Amino acid sequence: MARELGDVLHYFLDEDAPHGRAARCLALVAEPDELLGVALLWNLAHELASRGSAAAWVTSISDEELLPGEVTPGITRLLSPATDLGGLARAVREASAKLRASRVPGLVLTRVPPAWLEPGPLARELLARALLLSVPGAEGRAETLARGARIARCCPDARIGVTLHGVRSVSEAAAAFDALAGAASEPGSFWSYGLLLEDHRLYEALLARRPVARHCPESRAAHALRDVARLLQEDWQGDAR
Amino acid sequence: MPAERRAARERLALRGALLRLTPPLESVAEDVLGLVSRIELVTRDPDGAVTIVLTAATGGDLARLAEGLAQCAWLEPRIDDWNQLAPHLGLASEAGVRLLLACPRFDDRTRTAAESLGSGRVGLIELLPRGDLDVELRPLPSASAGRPAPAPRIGTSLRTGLRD
Repeated sequence: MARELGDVLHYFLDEDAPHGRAARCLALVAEPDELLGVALLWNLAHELASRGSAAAWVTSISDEELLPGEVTPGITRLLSPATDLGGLARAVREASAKLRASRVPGLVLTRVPPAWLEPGPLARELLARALLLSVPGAEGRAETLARGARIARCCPDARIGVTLHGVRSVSEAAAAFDALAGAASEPGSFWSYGLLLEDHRLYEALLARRPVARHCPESRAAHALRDVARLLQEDWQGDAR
Repeated sequence: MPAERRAARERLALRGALLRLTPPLESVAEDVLGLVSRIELVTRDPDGAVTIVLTAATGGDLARLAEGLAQCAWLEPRIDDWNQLAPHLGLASEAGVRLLLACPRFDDRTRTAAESLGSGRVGLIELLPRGDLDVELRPLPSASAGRPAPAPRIGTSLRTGLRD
């Protein structure tokens, strides 16, 4: 008699595992040479761990030079040799499994190069929660709109978040986000995830390969990063309810 | 015909009918032991989105709806595990698990409940016999069709706890 997957699953699955929602993935869509993007991800991982969440950070070999020198408790780091969406999806699933094993609600963070984006189930799996870094001005806005449109083509249900950077004040960031939202094809196309204030301490921390919050905890950059992490965590916990 | 064999034949007919839907639903697991009871079929669409399919006899649809929702909640956190065990299935874990309830005739309460849950979570489909060996599935028109899409949850302004 032929057996289906369902007939044998119970041999493999841990029936005592917590039955909460699966770990979520936040995919930053950015080029490998966008150093701030890589720095944002590991700083976010650090902040989420500081806020009591588990975080798994799936990095690529090209991120090696930027990896922090210190280990942060609560962060799982998984170095992935992925060269396409399929490889990255496998790494993210592995990271998700590690998070579930930790039995603490968690988030997987990873970076997806724009060149890898193509419609299909892998894109829907990885890009359901996407994040873009955007700078003020027409050029930055156009690039964000183009990447947002591409993500939406690959994953129509994607929640596309935007974090503004390169801004000197909250009011400048608010104006930049208003302009971006106004230029988007549909209202509410982008979810705002705060801003990264221009602060020389941010770059000092990156050069020192330390989390900003540990290098200069009272700096504007550290406060801004905490705020982005808070917004992400609140949304993701709200989804799970 | 023995009851077990008849159930297997009916399930086979249902699998065939699901493949004729748009989008087609391909069966990936059958008679799965879910939460307390068994799930008749677990299917995927071409994008990998997972749908649980349950059948109900006339009069039993309202109870099956509740059971199906419970099974969706049970299955959803397991999709990543299924993907690890059978990566070729390419199940879309982030898309959630949808319920498709097939029944010859639906109670008005079932229709209303399904409407309130939304077509993204629950679909109702009429199950009509077509000869001895086949069934026909006829999707119920959704009362929400044509309604404007819900407003986005997030406004169009910057969210931040920071101040200048």
